[in-house]
Amino acid sequence: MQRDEDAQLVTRLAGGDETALEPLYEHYGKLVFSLALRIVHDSATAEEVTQEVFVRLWRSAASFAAERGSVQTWLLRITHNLALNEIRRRQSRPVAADHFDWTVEGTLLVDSRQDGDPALAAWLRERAASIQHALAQLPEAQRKAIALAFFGGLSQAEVAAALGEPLGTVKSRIRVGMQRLRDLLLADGIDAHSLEASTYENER
Amino acid sequence: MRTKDSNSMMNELHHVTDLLDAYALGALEAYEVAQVEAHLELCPVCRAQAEVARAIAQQLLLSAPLVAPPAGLKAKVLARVHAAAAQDRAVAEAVAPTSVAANAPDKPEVTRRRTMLRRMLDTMLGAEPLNTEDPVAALLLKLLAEPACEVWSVAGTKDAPKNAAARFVGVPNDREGVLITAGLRNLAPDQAYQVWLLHDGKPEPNALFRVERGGRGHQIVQAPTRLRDFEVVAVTPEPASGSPAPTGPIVLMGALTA
Repeated sequence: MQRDEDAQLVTRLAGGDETALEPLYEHYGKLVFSLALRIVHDSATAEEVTQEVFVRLWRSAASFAAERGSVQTWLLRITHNLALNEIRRRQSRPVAADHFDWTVEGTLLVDSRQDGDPALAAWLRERAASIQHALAQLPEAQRKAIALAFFGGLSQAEVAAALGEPLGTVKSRIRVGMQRLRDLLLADGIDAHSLEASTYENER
Repeated sequence: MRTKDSNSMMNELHHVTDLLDAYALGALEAYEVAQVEAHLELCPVCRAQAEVARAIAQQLLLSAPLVAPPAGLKAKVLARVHAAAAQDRAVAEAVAPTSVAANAPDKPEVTRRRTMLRRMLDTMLGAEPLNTEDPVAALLLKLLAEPACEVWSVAGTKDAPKNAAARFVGVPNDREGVLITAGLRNLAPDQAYQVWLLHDGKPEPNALFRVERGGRGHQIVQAPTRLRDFEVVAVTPEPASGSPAPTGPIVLMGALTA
């Protein structure tokens, strides 16, 4: 399931070989930083989260290598958790509803710098474009409710408070929006049942 | 024959379909999460739907606009992992398996102590690399290597912030211990936290310390007699020069039970 190269690198990490970290950063550093930035909205904090994510990868490599999961999936999940912890920790700063709107157009910054693995970078860009395309087709209200919950770390009740909408309205927006996303992704050829397993390797 | 309590019967009968999307997004309240998870244990139909919702959420993580990280980040990440690796080696050396062959698999107790020590060092150091010359770090490594070492939980009280907590590490038959705190309030410059060791319910004044960002603090505690002679460790805010008897509210308190 996993990209062979990643699996080898993780095995090296698990064996205490620090040098395996640099290629993993080359592959996924940008993705991790981008997701962290998407959530914390602050470059310095996103850098801290990114560092913590790779320390976690280093320390979890042994148990992770045994699971044989996808490195990318694991990194994204940890990044999401750590970034949300970070914004919850600084809860004094209120969450502004407009902070989390998805600006769908022009968000894909294709930078000219050569990524560590161009084929992987291209695959990630394509996948991001696909999910952004699906998101663009949701009504703004649904998109916003989902974004506030998932990237803002808010509960449905907190989303309702942030938007000044009734709780029932928010619940149904989230439900309908997620169902719509599933249909759109399926129509886009992404099989929801195998999404978790659909890594770069077996689509190449 | 009833093999399930009425709660789980209810959970099995009432599908949680309407909650699964919010569950996957992490947007449910704690009681709803408990309800969903109890039901998922029993219901393959909802479990399959939850998997799909989780997969959609996983895809959403890929929607973040790709932004090139600052040029210096790679070096920072590598330095940070390098520091973590050095720390892990120090921990592994300090808490070594005793009387076992060097290549024998670690005993659970050894693994547990290493994990505890690493967490405490993380709390103590944040992103700073470990300096084994630092007296507190050195003492902590030494204490955790002792088979008789205890790690006592010291809880935040109602007068402390919600996430305040501490660990007190020491060998009951010795006098030295280390207190590691997190989540305490920063105090005014003319105040400091004071450690108290309680003997027969009477607080005896001990070390003073201050906390850094995140309420992180660490302090060596030298007891006048063996630690086992004391029942409780407590912390109060006091004037910066310390007090002979507590004047501030107790913010941290833990029993030194064997």
